[in-house]
Amino acid sequence: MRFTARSSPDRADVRDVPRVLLVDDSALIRNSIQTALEPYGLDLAHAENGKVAVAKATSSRWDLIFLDVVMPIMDGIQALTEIRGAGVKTPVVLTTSVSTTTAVTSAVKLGGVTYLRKPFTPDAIRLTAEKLLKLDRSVLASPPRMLLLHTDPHTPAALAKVLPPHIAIDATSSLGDALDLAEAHGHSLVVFETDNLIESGQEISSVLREQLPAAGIFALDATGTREPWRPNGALDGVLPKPLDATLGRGFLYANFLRPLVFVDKNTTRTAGFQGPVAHLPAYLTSLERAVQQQCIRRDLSQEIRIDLCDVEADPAAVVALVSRIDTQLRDAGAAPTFQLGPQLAKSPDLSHVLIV
Amino acid sequence: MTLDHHIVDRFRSVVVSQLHETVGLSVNITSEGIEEPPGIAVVLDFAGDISGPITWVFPQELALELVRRLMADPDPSPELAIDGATELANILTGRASEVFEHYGVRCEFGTPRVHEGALPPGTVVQLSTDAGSVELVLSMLVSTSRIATIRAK
Repeated sequence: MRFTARSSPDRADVRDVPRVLLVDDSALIRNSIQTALEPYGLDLAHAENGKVAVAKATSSRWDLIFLDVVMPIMDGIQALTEIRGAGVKTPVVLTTSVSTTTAVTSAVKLGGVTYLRKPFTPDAIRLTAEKLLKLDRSVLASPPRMLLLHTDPHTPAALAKVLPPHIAIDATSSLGDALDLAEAHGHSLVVFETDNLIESGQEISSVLREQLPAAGIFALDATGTREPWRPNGALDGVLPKPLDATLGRGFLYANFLRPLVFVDKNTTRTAGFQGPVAHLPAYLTSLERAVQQQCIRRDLSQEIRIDLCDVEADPAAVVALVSRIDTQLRDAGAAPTFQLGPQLAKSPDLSHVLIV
Repeated sequence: MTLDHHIVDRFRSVVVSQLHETVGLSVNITSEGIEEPPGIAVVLDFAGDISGPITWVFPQELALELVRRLMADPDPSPELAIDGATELANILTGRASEVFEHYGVRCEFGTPRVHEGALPPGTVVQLSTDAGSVELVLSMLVSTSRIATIRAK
């Protein structure tokens, strides 16, 4: 479960989000299930064989497992046997092209198992998940939205190509229209193009920041610079053009468009950082902004776990951020704990912080 | 002993219908040789009463058609063609292998892998689709003890 809130006013910031494990040796199949389920805002994770699936299924809570049968290293039937043997009763959807084998029949007898025959359509995946997780199909009608202010007519299509298909992009070439759209939708992410980044970039981002105080705001740099950048005033960063999937899905979607506040019983967790380390400063800035928003609303659960395990770059900035967030949350009456990588966890500057 | 032609016929007919169902394109069995760009060859190994490899050769466009359907993406990256081909081989082999169970033949197949080089010897089935030709090479052997059972059915 995760926590951070670059929230939009019309989105619930604290939700119980089901966790779903996708097990298949084919990345294509895992990604197809992920694409089908992403619009529900589920917490999705992958495993590429049965052995990895057993390790994940028995070490964490899952609400549903999609499990392939024929896989290398450990097949799905053996994995299911070990998962059930460990007392894990998570419902399992077997996904396979073979329905009549003795192995599949015996797997179904292990209990809590339904069967989905390959090839499946995205809608078949959704219907299965809706039934087992009691998901509300109406969420499909209100997808996460981002705002794009562009000068290049090709940019909306290029951006759509590197984001999950369910993301709604409100694209306009007029700053006035962009502000109207921002007011109407309260976007959690803004990307803008400008012909003169140095002269007008800060001005545009300042105007947008006023309308969207919690959003991630990024400029697109048509010169294609790959230099690392840092947040500067209202601008969270500059993205190179053309955008690729690493930046689109791996950074913008993962850190700004996913449902970002997850509550698991009494624990709230952050999404953690995903993406190239050059973009870490923007994430940290947004995280701090998110914590401030949460403190204002006082809707934090008592136990807050902030996951920065994968963050080892720029340790001084992370240490400073952790200290600030810890103070802010304690002042708000919460009790945060932090998950940090081994290098940061040993930092003497964080001796006053609870680290798990 | 090589596969009985009855099995091959049944196997082939399931492949034709399943290929149509999977990618929604019309499929015809053909023996004409058509010059096409090299396809993506994928092999799976059977074990049990039937053992040995089955090899599929798919045109890239057909493999991408499966990717389009699975990902709901009308314009998938060509790099995904190999993933599409291996999954298509997996699906078709799985569905068609249910024919063997009909004959009381116990067999399982392993994970698909891309095959490079010359195709292995075996019964060759060629299919034509709107997206190009599909070649199927059945190189499996059936255990002699199962022959009578199969013929009885």
